[in-house]
Amino acid sequence: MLSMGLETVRGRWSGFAGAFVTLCLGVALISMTALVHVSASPHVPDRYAGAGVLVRTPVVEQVEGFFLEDRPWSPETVAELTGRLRAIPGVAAAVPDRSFYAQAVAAGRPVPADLRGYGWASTALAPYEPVAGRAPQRPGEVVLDRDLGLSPGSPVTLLTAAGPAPYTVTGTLDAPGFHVTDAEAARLSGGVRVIGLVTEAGADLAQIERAAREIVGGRGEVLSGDARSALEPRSDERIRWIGTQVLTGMTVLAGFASIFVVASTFAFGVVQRRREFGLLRLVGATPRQVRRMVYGEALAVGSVAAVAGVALGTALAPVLGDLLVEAGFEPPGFSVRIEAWPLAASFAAGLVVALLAVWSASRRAGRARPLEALREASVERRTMTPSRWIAGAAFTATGIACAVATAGAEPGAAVNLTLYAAMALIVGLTLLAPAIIPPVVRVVTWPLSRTRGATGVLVREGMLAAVRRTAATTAPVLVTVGFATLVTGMTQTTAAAVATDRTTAVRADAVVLPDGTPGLSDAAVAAADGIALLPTTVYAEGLPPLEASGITSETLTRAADRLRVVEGALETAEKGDDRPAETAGADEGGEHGTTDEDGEHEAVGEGGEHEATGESGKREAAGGGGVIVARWLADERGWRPGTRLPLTFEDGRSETLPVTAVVADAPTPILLSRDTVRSHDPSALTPEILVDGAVRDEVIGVRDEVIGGRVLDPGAYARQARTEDDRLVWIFTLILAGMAVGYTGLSIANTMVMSTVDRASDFRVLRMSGATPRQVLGTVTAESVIVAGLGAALGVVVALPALLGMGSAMTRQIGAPVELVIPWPIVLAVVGGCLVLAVTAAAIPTLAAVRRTR
Amino acid sequence: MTTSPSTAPRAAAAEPVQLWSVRKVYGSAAGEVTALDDMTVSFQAGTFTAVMGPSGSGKSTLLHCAAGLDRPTDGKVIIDGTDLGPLDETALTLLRRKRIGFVFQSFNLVSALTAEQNVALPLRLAGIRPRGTEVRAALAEVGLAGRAGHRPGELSGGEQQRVAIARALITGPAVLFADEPTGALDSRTSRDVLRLLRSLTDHRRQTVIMVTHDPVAAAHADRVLLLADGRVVDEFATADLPVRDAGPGGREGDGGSGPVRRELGAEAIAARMAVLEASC
Ligand SMILES: Nc1ncnc2c1ncn2[C@@H]1O[C@H](COP(=O)(O)OP(=O)(O)OP(=O)(O)O)[C@@H](O)[C@H]1O
Ligand SMILES: [Mg+2]
Repeated sequence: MLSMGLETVRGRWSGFAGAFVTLCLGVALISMTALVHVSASPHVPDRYAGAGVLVRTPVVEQVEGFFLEDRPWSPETVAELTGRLRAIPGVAAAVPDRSFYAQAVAAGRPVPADLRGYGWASTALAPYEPVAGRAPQRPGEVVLDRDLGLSPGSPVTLLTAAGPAPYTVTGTLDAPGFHVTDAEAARLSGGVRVIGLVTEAGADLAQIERAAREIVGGRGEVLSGDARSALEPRSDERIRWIGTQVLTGMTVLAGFASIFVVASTFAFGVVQRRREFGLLRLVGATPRQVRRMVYGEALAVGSVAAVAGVALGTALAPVLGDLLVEAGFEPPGFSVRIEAWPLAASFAAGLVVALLAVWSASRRAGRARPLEALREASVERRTMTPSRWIAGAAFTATGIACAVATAGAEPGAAVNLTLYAAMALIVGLTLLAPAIIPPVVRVVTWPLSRTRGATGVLVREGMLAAVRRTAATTAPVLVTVGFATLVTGMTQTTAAAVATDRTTAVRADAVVLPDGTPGLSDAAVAAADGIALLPTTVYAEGLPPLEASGITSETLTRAADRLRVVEGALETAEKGDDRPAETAGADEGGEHGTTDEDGEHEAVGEGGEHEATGESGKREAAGGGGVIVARWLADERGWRPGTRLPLTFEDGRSETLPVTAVVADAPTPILLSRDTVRSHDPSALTPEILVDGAVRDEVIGVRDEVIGGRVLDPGAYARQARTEDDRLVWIFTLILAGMAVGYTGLSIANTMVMSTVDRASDFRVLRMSGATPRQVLGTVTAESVIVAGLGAALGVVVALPALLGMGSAMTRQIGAPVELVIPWPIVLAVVGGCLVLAVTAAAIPTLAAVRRTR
Repeated sequence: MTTSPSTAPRAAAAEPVQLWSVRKVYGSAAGEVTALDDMTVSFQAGTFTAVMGPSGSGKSTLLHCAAGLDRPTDGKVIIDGTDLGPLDETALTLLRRKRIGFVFQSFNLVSALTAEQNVALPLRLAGIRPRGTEVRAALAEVGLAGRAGHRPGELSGGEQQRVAIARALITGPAVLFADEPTGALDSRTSRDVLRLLRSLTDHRRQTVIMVTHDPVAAAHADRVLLLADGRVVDEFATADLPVRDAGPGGREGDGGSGPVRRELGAEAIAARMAVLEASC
């Protein structure tokens, strides 16, 4: 029976073309995605390629989607480990790797190419060849990338987190980054997370690794060989993760669209071929055999399409890889490797999609009765089966439930729920279409039955008699318009919500944003003289890394009402500003007045020794102050005002600080004094500065002094201030929407052509009964227009509940009413496109059929 | 002889198709239609029976019920000794596949398959790998040896009908049912098809039951059943028709006197039909 399927496919290839194209594209997409996915594994960073063995700090499991750096070693641990690792026989040097933000400034503008600075010693870990000049020996000397076009001896301005500073180029390397003396690197950077071992020629790596493991113990991880790829920068890892999200989304959508389109193509084909199946039953085929034959057809089409798709995917995967790098979804230097197993898996996925899609069609085919071979086929008796009713109702209910749930969901989950809602509603309405469509058609075409001409009656009765056909042609329009409305509406509403959020958030007269830099330096903050948060990462025992922000007391005062204090008093820095950080065991909890005896946590004894070590240079601990904690974190950990928190910072040092307040609406889980953050994280950058009216003109006057920043008024800020993440999400959405619409457009054309070809004999009868070709064409066009309009209306109906749900979720989140934005021009354009497509796809085969009858 | 009510089913070998008090009622919103009304009839092995009657008299319904394509509302259908009543859809299909062949007015062939593949279809459905020689022989028997590779679209109506007959016979069925097999054909082609059916009975003792409107077609049969309003109203052997006098040995369809005899037979049948229609 399977081979029988093969023959039918051969005999009526045109009927399967739609399914073939859809599947082929779907498999191409899946195989591209799979190849990209497999190729997207991390590799050993070039900077460490010359070190056989590396030691890094222990990794703490983080929440999905977070890529914060791991806790660094304390300076003491670094000193101790370095000393002991260096003593291992065969090890020439143990190099603590320090990196910090650095960027060259040329003609007053930051050069965007290289963004990191390192200590000179770390070049021993890389296989870099010096190109010219010598190593840096004094502070103020730098060896940099020769691509910058500077030669040894020339001056250069380097922008670091502190601000611009003059340097002298002493040499160039054929490698990215700025290399300064180790002492200077220690001053500019935070803590150490990697120590690289430079081995002597001929040393036994395995033995060194063993020895290193013994020394490090639980304080770190020893990596060698390919395992060193675990050292790829967290930022690359994050980009890769976003890329995976995009690819997963694309694959899921491609799968859904493929199944939907292929299923409707096959279902429609089965309806059209009832007589053929009846004949087979007449000749002696059991229902099972008929089902298997339909499966055989799907398998035949599926395997040819899957092979074509895999070939197409293999050819296009490198292109997709480049596009992803360009769009920022994969780190630079990413390239696609062609491997066999992802291709085999994609092929299998194609077959599975085909078989899943044909499942319900095959059941219907199996139900064909022998006598149906002897009847005229166009009038169907039973259009809604009980199982169709049940499934349709279930999907619709699920969709509505998802839409309702969206209203109460977190914004992140809301996006997913919205998509689920739309998908479920689409499937549900498509299943129920044969029940919904006749009454709607009856109402819509009522004026037609009053007209004098034949066309009106023909259109109306034709559509009503062939409910299944009308439903089948409506479905792809429904999906297209539904998806387009939903996806564009979703992004526009989100964008509007973000703008609203920003406008309400920014009570400043101007905002300074980074321009060509990853963030703003302290010099920029000082020049703008505004309010700025300084983000960093802190580490508490037993918790994953936590995002924290440094905040000045002035900012705190201004933001007091937005933070919504739950408990305690807003203060971070006032009391501790000029005082050395408290050492372990010191108990100043009483000072804060709100101390609750039960809530007082015991400080961990280790932190807070602050003799400046030789390695980290002269850095007085200017920390201290209190900690403001977000409510969810305080609730989770049982922290209250007065609780004394032992925290480790970016430089590996620890301090025990008292909680001063718990707030409901913190920008990060932890707020600290800005000075505390700066003293522990010399490389931290400010993402934005809010500037007050009083100083605004002045700022705009000094605009040129704010190196690496630009000044915007709040309106412009709200409108355009898309963060990098927003930009990625936007691109992502466009890709998804484009893909979905492309797919379903294909399906519109396909079902239209199929249904029209099927009616060639009707047209012939019409012509013979005296209809002019124009009248026939008019009938078909009118039908297509009604079908497209119906589908469009249902599509909007599908999208609206989901969007409304999302809108109210955002309203709750932001606290200000979010207006539902539906980009009607886009939606109307899509509807128009569907209309043109539907009419064209119906008119061309009609013309051909009408010609043939002449 | 066969419409006479009897108390016990007769031997399957002698009468492969038996209907006992079969009623078929089509229910629809517009009202009920009784297509077969308490019909008891059986057909003898190795005979060619023509079923005639006015349009709507229930001929097709009789055929569908007798062939197990449709289930009667009441009564019993026995094919080749098997009561169809208790059979489920699959069992019924298997029985049809092995024991019954059909030819209809049109819509007979799977358009995607070649003539040869169409003929081989029942065998393949039964899981038997068709031997090329067997299928070609069947095609040759209906005079289509050279057209094995053509698809139905490339064959004339008569040729398609002959392919359908070859297919109906490929499994060696106990009965061949034909519903107006010549309805869509011109008289020449019709005659070819009817000769073919006649020769099947003559040479292979094939039981054939054929519905027709055409007295000429009916004249090829051994026996004619006249239906009206779902009942058998008349029944006669063509051999008993008055024209029998025209010549002995006229039974042999291929005999030189056959056509002449049949023309006269057809006239007699038409006369009986006219009487019947007048009485309705
Ligand atoms: N599927 C059906 N549903 C309802 N009524 C039906 C159906 N099939 C047949 N009938 C009715 O049953 C009666 C007998 O129909 P049948 O097709 O057996 O007639 P027929 O003798 O074959 O007629 P014709 O010579 O026109 O083919 C007719 O009145 C017809 O309207
Ligand atoms: Mg009939």
